[in-house]
Amino acid sequence: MTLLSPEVIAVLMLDGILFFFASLAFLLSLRIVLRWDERATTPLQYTLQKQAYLVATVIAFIFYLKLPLFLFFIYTLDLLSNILPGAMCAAGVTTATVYGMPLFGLKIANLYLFGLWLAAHRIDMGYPTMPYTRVKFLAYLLIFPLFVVEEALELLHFFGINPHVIVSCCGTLFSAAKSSAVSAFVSLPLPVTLGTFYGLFGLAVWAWRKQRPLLSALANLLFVPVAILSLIAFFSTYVYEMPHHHCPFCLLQADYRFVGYLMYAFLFFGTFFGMAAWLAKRMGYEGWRKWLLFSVIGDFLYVALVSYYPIAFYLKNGVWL
Amino acid sequence: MQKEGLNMVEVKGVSKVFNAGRPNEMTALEDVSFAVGEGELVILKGPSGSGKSTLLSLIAALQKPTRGEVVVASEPVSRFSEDFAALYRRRKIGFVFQKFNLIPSLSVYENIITPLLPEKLDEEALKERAQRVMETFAIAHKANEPARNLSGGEQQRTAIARALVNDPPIILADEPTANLDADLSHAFLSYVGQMKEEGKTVIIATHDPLFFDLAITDREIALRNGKMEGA
Amino acid sequence: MKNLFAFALGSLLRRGAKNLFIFVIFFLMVFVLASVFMVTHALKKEMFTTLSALPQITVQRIVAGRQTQIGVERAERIARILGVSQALPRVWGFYYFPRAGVNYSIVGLESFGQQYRADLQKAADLYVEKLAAEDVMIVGPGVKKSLAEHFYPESFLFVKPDGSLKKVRIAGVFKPQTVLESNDLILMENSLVREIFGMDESMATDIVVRVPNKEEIPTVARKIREIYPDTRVITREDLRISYQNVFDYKSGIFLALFIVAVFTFFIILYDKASGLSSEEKREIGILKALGWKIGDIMRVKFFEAAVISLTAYLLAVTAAVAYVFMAQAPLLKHLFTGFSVLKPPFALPFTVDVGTLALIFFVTVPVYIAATLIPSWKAATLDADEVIR
Repeated sequence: MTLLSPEVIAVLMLDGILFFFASLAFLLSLRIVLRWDERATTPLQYTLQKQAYLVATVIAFIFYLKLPLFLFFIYTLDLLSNILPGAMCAAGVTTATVYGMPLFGLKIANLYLFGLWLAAHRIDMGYPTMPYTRVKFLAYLLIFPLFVVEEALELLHFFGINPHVIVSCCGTLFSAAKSSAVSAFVSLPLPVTLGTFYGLFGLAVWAWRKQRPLLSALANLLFVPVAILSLIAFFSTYVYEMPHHHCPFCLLQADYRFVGYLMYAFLFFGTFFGMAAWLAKRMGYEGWRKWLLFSVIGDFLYVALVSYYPIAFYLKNGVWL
Repeated sequence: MQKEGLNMVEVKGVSKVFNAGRPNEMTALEDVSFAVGEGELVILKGPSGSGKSTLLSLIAALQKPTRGEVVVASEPVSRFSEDFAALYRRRKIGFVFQKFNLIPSLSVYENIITPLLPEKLDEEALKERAQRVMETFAIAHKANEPARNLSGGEQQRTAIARALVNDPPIILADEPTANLDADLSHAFLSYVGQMKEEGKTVIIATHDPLFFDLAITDREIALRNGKMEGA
Repeated sequence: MKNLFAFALGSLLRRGAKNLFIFVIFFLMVFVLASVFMVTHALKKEMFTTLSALPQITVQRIVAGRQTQIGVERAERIARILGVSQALPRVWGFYYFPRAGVNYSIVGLESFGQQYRADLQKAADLYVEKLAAEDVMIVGPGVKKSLAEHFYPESFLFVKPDGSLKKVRIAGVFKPQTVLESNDLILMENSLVREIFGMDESMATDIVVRVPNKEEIPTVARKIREIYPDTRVITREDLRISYQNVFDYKSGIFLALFIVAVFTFFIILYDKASGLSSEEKREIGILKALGWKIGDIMRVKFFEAAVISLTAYLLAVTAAVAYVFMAQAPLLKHLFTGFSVLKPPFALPFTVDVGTLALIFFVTVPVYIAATLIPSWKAATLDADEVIR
């Protein structure tokens, strides 16, 4: 193994622990899905009820560890960019193997899925007979393979990085000249990009005003990629104050006062509750109105924060980049 | 002697079989049915092993019946999930255990507030509620004494105070006088009278003859080998 | 929640002996790990400070696989490559002093000429008159000390390759920016260095090249290799990456070993946490009968684990900072730097970064909490009905 950095070892070890727990939860869930009978008073049913607590606890542990670990993972990639020739930030390290980009996407998706699962579990626990038990654990059976794929991609990625091969830096990765989906978005006319971005935000706010959780969930679901792509295409250049520096990772570095962490936290918070509110309403949980409000607050904070940079730049310099 | 109006506790055709289908299968209760009205005092009597304790734990939703149903204040508590059963115990049930079951390393005050800890109460509210029951049962002067240093009578009063701190409508007592001398047993009886006056529904499982044929008792239910006598 | 937290704290104190044992071991583990990482991090920083003073490109001549002297005329040819702003021949080497058993690094300066390093330039400017006029040297503090110990307080007699002696006076003590590299340093005029080492006027030890635009370094390096195929061209970037790799490798191996130890500990711990005493079992039964949910009990158990691991973590990290930076890591420092005689007197620069703290956190606290998950679930799902019979 060419990259025996302590950070990589730490990430891999924690992955190992998470994998152990996730597999345990999977086996128990499988049994619960197959054998659960809420009317039964057999010892098996008692055991299953107790094991359901273990599964929920384990999934909560995975989620609450995955959240900070995701940040640590990015930090690790940032560190690796020091030893990979060409890489200036995590972006270069991510693209050092073909697995990097899918790994990132899957990591984000899994955070949402584990979070939504926990939200559903919380709601279900609010009913005397836990009516969603079987559905809930069935859902976990479907999430688990995604988790396994994520772990596998992570192993392939870390072991696949070759420190002697020169990788691209974010400057070329996200430039309009390159032909990738990201670059295609970067090269879209600015009014289209910003129109989609602010339009979706407006839609989310409207869904909150009209108390329409399904609309809010859809708007927020689309808002995640659109927000990240518009950050790459437009807003990040104002954070860096460099017209050709499009990068979603350099934001996380000390040079920019770690502002990226705050941005992504707001974005996750807002979009997560936007989707969770719909789930809550579907499950008959009254708290969904509150969650919808959380979502709008999170989305608003994100939009306000990213919009601050170009506006401040314009006010200071009187021109746009 | 059943009062008019709402039944507080309804036990409907309840059976409890342990280790069903195994060689050591044991039927603890068989087809037990009765109802307890609000504010009633009911004595469950019978020799040890007759199923009294099992019946209490079914009413407290600590266990689930193999057949039948327990309904408390119109709610099917025997079908509750573990969490709801716990919530139900916390809000509706005051438990006085055999041997009191205090936590020896905690003080009297700490023992008394344990049922309230999972609730969202601030320190003031906790103190106020504990103070009230400690004064009622004359244990306030020992508030900071670890439970292991208490005399039998003090332990008894602490246990009763703990059972009443959440102001539950139902009191369940399991052999409350099994380890008490005659004086303390009579003292307990007077506390029971006090509870009844406050309108609590009280169910006492005991084989102590002291509780038989009391004037304040609304009903006696006799169990033998898991079956109701005379049923 | 606040009440449950208070209950958990009380519960930790009530079972003081058992928890103290766990606390102490956990504290020691975090302390060792934190100390090692802080020492390596500080050494790495020291090394990189040194590194940043190195020339961007160094050109050496290789004959039969060994480095040898390089002709000074090559510097002029290299200076004509596009993008190169300066190419200077360097004259330097190691001088072994048998009585003290140490190697001194002798570095030559071109009087009135340009130096490749800002600090050397400063020293040269300061002593230029003296260095040009007579046979003098400027020495690092370590050299000054070791010479004085062997009765050379004012000057030193160098033994030339032909066996004759050369007396050189100490003109001053060099105050370097980082001590690690410069402690054993001796600065002299180029011609004096050549005389001591017996080198020809037209030869130098190596050639250092300055390239203002960082992006052009690889191209320049390639061109030099093409013009002089018998040379080895080393860029600063190559060195930095190989240093980084060595450090990562060392601390990586350490961490791998450490993790084995952590897991052993947590398996023991798991075993200990699983075996509940009958008193604890009864207590949980009472709590459940009194209306505590399974989640309430697990929360208390989680608080207990979190309080133990977080306080141990915070205290151990603080203790490690004191040990490494205030006490200068006795024992541990030599493990990483070796027992070289002239190298010791350098201070570990104070560097504690969020990343290192996060790394230490991630390999200890979540692992501990993970180890307590299943035991606390087992405890919380004990049957409560046993307390009422």
